[in-house]
Amino acid sequence: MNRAPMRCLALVLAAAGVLGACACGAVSHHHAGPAAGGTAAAAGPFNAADVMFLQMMIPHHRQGAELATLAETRSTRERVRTLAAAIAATQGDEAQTMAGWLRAWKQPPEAEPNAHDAHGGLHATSPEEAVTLAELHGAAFDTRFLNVLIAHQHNAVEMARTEVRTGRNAQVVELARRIDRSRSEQIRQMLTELSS
Amino acid sequence: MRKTIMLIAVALMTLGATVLTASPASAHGYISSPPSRQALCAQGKVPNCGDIIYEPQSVEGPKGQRSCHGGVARFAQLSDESKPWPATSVGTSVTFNWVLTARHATSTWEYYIGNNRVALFNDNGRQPGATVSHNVSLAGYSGRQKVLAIWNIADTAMAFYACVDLQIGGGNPNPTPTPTPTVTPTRTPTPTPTSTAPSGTWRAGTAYAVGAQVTYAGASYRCLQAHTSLAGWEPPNVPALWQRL
Repeated sequence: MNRAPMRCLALVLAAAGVLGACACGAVSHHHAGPAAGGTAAAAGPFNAADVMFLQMMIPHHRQGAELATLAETRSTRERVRTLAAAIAATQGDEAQTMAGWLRAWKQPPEAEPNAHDAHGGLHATSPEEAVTLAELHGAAFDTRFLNVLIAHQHNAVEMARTEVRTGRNAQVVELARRIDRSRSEQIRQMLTELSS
Repeated sequence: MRKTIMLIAVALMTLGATVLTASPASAHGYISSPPSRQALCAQGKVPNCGDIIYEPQSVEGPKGQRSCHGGVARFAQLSDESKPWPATSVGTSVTFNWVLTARHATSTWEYYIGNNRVALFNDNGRQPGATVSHNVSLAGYSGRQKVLAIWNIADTAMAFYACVDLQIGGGNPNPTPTPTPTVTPTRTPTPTPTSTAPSGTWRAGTAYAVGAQVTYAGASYRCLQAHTSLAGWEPPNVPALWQRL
């Protein structure tokens, strides 16, 4: 209900350049040459929303991969272990691609902590979550793990949809669409797993 | 459009004051298990749910309501009792698990069956974690029951609503529905606009083992890591899972 105004606010902030103070604001709006490390650069123009999305997704991916790695060894269900391992692996790939794009654009890999509070800064799973999970076993672990990762992937979907609405770079937007699709499907698999 | 301009104007006016104190852009949550109606919709287990399948966490309405859709018109399907909502078999003690995508300071969590509040948990404004579990006694209830759960946010006038259909203490939770009369569709179903399925043997929703081979859009791939495929994990997009041959 009160989301639309907040989204608008975020857009307005971005448009008004109010976010210039954070790392995501200083963006040259044209493609800046090939990436280091052999990663292909995302060709074409980009905007602050593209940079912000990448800077937010990279740590989000890393956290997700950390959670998933816990399940690879702790979950009692093979389906959960397999899904978790595949999530960790694919998010690792995506994080590399995203980091390569930021390098090619000469942008910092991550924003300052709290720089994106106005864009839903609570979209991070708290670090204590991994600690709590590591103390659980058996069914209790599975239930908490699945719920936490479902929430985490919902956050990824929300960020991806914001990028699709506000981003400019075709490749980044395409990645965001893919993140929306794949995370939505993962959520579906995990919800099914919770009810079985 | 006019509304958007208004919002932008308001946003600009309040800019200075709001930037640093802005509350989170979204405060969302729903019950994942036993599955709430929105969770069932998100899984595709109940047909024709509408928008809720894309955002099961968004059933947010003013506090004090007693409906499954929280008064949000576009989620009205959640209150449609003619839909075949499956009920989950439970005993008289049930643990409800919430997925919280924004961890908003919480006043209370309420659980209702009909007009009776069967449980109340007071968080006194605490910020919850990414998931919350409540153990609720449903002693005195049996058979098919609809539980309405409400997450009351501490610092806004809003709450989140979720209905969970339960079969308490045995019995057949999901009696065979009355067969719907066969009706010839008046129009041919619209072809799926989204995935123009590229050629090849790769399919979503398939369990692939290491070494499995598929073709996708004219190329061949070998599976590097076991997984159940899904939309967004097409072989060229996930080199961790598929090696191009």
